[in-house]
Amino acid sequence: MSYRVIFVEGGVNDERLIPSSTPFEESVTDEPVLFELTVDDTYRSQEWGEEVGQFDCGGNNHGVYLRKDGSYEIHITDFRGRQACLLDATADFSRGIVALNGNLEMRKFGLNNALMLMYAFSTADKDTLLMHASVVREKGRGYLFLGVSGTGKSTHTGNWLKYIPGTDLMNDDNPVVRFIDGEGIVFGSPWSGKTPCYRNIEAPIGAFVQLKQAPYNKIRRQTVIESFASLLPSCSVMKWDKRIYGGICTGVTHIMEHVPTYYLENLPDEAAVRLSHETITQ
Amino acid sequence: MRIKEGFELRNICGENIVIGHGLENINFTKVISMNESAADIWNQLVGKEFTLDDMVRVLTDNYEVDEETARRDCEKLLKDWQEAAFLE
Repeated sequence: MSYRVIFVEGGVNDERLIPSSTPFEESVTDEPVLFELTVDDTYRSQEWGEEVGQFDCGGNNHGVYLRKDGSYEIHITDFRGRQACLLDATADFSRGIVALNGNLEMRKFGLNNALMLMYAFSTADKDTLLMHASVVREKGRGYLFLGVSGTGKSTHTGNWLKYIPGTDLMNDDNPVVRFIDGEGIVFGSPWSGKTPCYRNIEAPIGAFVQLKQAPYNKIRRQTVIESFASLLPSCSVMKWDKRIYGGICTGVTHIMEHVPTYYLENLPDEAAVRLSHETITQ
Repeated sequence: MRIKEGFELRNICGENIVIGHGLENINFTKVISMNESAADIWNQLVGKEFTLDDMVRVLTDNYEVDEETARRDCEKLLKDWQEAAFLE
């Protein structure tokens, strides 16, 4: 499940733009890869296609354009509204080309966002989900905490590290979840939001927990419908694209059949962590 | 009427859940579930032109139910489906 990034010669870009990929680096082989992404700042779009929409992704904007042949052009803008990256990708996201723009920080941001999109959508039909979650590991199992930005995912997992001995952080924002041989497995990734936590590690998933802020602590199992409504919006998805959306829904279904999900209403305190730890690790 | 292109009924861990894809359904963000008999009606009629009578017939052909009750249930189901914008 590896991918290949090619920096065209003579440009200003090189692997220093993606330092968080270093722990995942492999030597180059002839093995088929998920996708190949070429970084070429001189690339200019041939045809924009039809605007699908402008999508807010945690303060950043993705302008998505779909062409008649199914290929995509995606304009990635940072939180200051500066266009950092133009991504042109085939319909199956197996090949892409990016033109980066701006200073080093913008280029890093643009390329990593393009890689996340390529990864999420090239794996959509491979029981592989790029999720929005903070993940801790305890006694060899991974626990994923879900919720929209600002819910307190990192706060909650931070309190696990503080109060539950032997716990470590696997990823703080964008882990990869795969369904392999009847089991849900969580992996670290080169993307982790604001927390530098890029670890080439994996663990069987113990549970998912949907977080909700509340003036009290309370936890319960979710119903099937609630689980689906928690997991699906936590995955990177393009719902207008039948291959991608159908594939992600199938991946979510497989995971749900094998991993319990919980709903935790909580305060940002030690008692919340004790409650969730006792309940979900049993 | 017919069920719009892009809506798909799936069995997810024993629940019948409708998912919507396609550009025309981009604003469909709900998760809607159905009971067995509603799912039967959906599966029999998806991809076809149908009327309320067709919905009623699925129930009376497959369940021990009188026509009056079936019609009442289908009228309510039809209203739910219209509200969810599944139909065109």
